[in-house]
Amino acid sequence: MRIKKLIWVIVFLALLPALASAEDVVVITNPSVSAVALRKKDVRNIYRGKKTTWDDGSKIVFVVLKKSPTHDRFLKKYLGKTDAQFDRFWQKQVFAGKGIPPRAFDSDQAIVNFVANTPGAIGYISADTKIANVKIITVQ
Amino acid sequence: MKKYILMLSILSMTVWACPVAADNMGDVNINGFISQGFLYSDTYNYLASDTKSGSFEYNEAGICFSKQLNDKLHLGLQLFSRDLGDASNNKITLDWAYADYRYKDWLGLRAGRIKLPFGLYNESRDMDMLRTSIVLPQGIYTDLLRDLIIAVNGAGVYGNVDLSVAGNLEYQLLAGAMNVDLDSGIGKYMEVFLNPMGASIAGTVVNNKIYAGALRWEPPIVGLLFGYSFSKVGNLEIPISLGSSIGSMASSPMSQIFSVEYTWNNLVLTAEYFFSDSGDTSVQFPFFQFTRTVKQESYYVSAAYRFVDWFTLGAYYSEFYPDSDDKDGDNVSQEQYYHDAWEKDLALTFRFDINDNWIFKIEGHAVDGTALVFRADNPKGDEDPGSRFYYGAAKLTVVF
Repeated sequence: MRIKKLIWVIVFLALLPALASAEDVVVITNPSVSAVALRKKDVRNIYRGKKTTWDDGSKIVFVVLKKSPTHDRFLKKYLGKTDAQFDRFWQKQVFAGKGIPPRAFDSDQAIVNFVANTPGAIGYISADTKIANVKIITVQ
Repeated sequence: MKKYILMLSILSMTVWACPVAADNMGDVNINGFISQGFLYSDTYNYLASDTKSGSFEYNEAGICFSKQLNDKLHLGLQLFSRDLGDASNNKITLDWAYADYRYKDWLGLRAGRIKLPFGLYNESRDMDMLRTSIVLPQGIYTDLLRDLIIAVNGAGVYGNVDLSVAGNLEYQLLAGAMNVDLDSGIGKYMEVFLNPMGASIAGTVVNNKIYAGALRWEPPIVGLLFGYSFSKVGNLEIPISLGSSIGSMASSPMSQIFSVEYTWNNLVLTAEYFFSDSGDTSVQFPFFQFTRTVKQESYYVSAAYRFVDWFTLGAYYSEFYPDSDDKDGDNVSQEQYYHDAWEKDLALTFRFDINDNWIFKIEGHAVDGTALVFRADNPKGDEDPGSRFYYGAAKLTVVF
């Protein structure tokens, strides 16, 4: 019986990082963006430059965090890519003339400030970041 | 050499201006890369002309400039230089340069010199940092043909269609003409087909039409990608000489590639199948003429796994048949060895990411078959050196 309990504790502890990582990245947009929810696929297409306009026709400005745990969690959860794979994807776009990589910021707060002041902007931050003048988007 | 130094000077000035990463001068994005490689082989000279002694004539350098003029219009160009033995010799070329007008996500227009979307790697073949292997499977991504098929001078449409629950479909269609520079390695490659007839190229090769297209479907399974691409050359006219006679060869080859790629965490699995049909290739001389059709076939499977941030291990196995109707070499000409009918290549690569800008790779190949061993680099002697040989490559790349 004790062994069973111990196994459950180990399983819970093993799953804890995964449960936490599912919760601690949030997607934010400028309040001008009319969408209140996005599909996971929309986020994936936005961050690979395949979706460039919101449904109302306005331009999407997407930004990223520089190397950080939040950046890694976002890429894994929404794009299914590692940081290296994401970098290589954009290098390929650049050297084939197909796009310009997204602007990268040093901190979550810098992302919040940029998104708050840029119409059509979308970004992601750690869930515990203080936010103002941005909208949290539900991703289904 | 002077051209390479000039290219390096341009790159150096840019690197000096932007020591850490891509530069942005007045909203013009500047990016570049430099790769220097080394090739070594045992029995045959392979890829370059003197690899049995070891060759440093294996490099690439490129610099690109791009600017987003407004929400829909994007402009860019890339200058490129490479050396591969006696091919290209660091001539600086306009690799691509085009205007891109994106009307909607599902419809965009490009005009200028546009990269050819052929297979998973043709557009990115020069960017060593984007893949694990140094030498791509040569049956599909033949390095000597690189300058011929890298880009098309013309126009095309492209877009990304959201298929809802069925995923995404990306398409691209192009029409234009190819640049045919015999010094870039194409002349050497064509000898494979002309030498068995005792013929050689005798003038400027003309091509005024090529049609190409690519589809990439991403099903709802994240990381999975299916691709199909084709290119149809409208008319390729090659003046040839046979002894003192001057004639011509005309061909309209069609090539197709089916691709699949699956990425799961740090593992990338890839497979591609290539098929090319020369169509009715007519050879005409004043006193005789004949028509021949050649079908080529190639495939490869590859795997790459990134163990840690700085180390990736990769491997691939590829097969290539220059005449898919003669895979055993039963019908090769007297100028050829029977093992010129195939190439089977097993490659193993170690990639080291020193930092975000510097990459070092080392790679070994065990090859059976000499389909891509060129007689120009390996004159046929009385004794057959055999079908098996080994070669290795090392490469250092910097990207910014």
